[in-house]
Amino acid sequence: MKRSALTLGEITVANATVRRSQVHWLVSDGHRCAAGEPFAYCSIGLQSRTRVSRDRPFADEELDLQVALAAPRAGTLRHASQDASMGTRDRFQMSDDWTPDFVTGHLECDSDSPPAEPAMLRFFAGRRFSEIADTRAGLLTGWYDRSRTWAGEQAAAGTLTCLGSCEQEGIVLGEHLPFAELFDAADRRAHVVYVPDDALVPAARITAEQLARTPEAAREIAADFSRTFGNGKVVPSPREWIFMNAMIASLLRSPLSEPLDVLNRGGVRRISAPDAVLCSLNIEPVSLLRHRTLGYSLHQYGYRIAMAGPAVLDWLRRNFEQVKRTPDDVKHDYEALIDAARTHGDMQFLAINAVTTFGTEQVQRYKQFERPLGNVLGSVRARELNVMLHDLARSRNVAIVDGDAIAADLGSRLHVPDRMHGSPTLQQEVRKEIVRLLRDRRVAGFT
Amino acid sequence: MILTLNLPRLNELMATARVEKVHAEPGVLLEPGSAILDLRVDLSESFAHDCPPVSFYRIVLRERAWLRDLASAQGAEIEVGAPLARFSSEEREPVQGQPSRLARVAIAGIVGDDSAWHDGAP
Repeated sequence: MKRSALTLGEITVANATVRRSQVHWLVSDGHRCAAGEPFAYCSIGLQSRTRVSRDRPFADEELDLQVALAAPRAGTLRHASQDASMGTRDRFQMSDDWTPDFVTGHLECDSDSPPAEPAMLRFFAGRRFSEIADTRAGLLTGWYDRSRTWAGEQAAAGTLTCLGSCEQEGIVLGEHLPFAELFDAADRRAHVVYVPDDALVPAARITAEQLARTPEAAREIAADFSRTFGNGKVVPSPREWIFMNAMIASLLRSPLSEPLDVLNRGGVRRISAPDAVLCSLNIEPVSLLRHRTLGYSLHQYGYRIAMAGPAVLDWLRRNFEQVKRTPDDVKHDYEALIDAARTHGDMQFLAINAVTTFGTEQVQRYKQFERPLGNVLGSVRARELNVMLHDLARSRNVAIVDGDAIAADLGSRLHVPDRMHGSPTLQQEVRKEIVRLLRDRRVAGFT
Repeated sequence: MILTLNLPRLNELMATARVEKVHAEPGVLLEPGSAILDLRVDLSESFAHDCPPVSFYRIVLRERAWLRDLASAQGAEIEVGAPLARFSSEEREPVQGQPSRLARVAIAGIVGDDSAWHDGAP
């Protein structure tokens, strides 16, 4: 039995000192680690040695920049003798220096291993909806409008940005540690970004408008919101202000063109655009909201607007109109999005199609429904959207993630009973298909 | 012959459905293919739920029958298994007593409209 000390190893960042919180264990003492399995994590901070710049790395994620320490080889983990209890101070990223020789634990291995070696690093970053959304309970446990992970041993090879929906959440964020299953399936070299639909649903038209929006137009939207929200008959509650501020803040960002900093042992690199984008056809609504005077689009699920409160609904009604979307409209939205995105870089697009199998549907004759059928029958609309996706695959080289076929193979009633929220088995199969398509398209980090 | 229509279980987790729209009028002879009701199933009605799926269904008659009465009007919340409507094969047939069987219907998932937007009842 060989015993190897697991150290932090070097991280070098120009003009900054790397600091960290205390180490939090993810596995118990005596846990049998697989090679590459994270066993602990800490928060880290880059303390500038020069004047702090607004353009500093991780400026909008520095409160939730974290690193997981993973086993460099298989073995039994032994915690280093350190106080297991954590004070509040110990959770702050500035509580200690990042010391390369610091021993976090030991790995007992059957095979030959050096007396000491650095743990493998896997970074995480979350951009909070609000700076006060502070939840330091674990890895990426806060409320984020964007979260991401990447490998720390070498420069992350490629970036996949996922325009989230609840169906994507389980596929991308996984069921255990954030991103673990997708990251592992991609050979642990990729940079994966998740943009949730909490405050704003990233339908194709909205994301395309975000890409095209000028700073002046963004200021105009913000000013209009400030002027008009709260001046109706219904006085907004504090909770409604939080909801709307999160929605407008999300709207005024652009997930496909904002720069992303990634850190590895050799320093910080800034990425200007993703290499691949994952979309979901399921989030394309039957109708979008369009601002009556400024013309921008907005989308949030009806149940969430209802939960948000009466002042939110009142503001939306006074300022927006509902615009119906046909599958052709959705196609044009996707084309506009893809064309605009590709001016920022050579991006591959993947789209998860819609589940068309309705377990409880018993239609024997279509004659009895009004035309066009796609405006009435959900299953027909889903099929029309899926057919549209084939047109898009040809016209814009979009890869289809055939979640519909996977669900049908596994059994929709059991694995995706509401056509949106999948079982772990379904999620795993869709995840494998995503990685396969990225590999086929030779997206860096997935090859 | 008296036929009845009870609210079928459209989703394993549902407890109730709301009558979203009434298509048929009592006293009218309905041909096969006639729409009877549109229903809205909101799983957040049965328990607090992140991302509760809201789905819409249309119930369509598959046989020729007289619609005699509807148990619920638009906006009513109905429990699974509760009566929705009664039909008869003859126009003036008495509807009291035990029905002969369930009416034959088709159920289709339909594209629903966001009622919160229209009815002001968040």
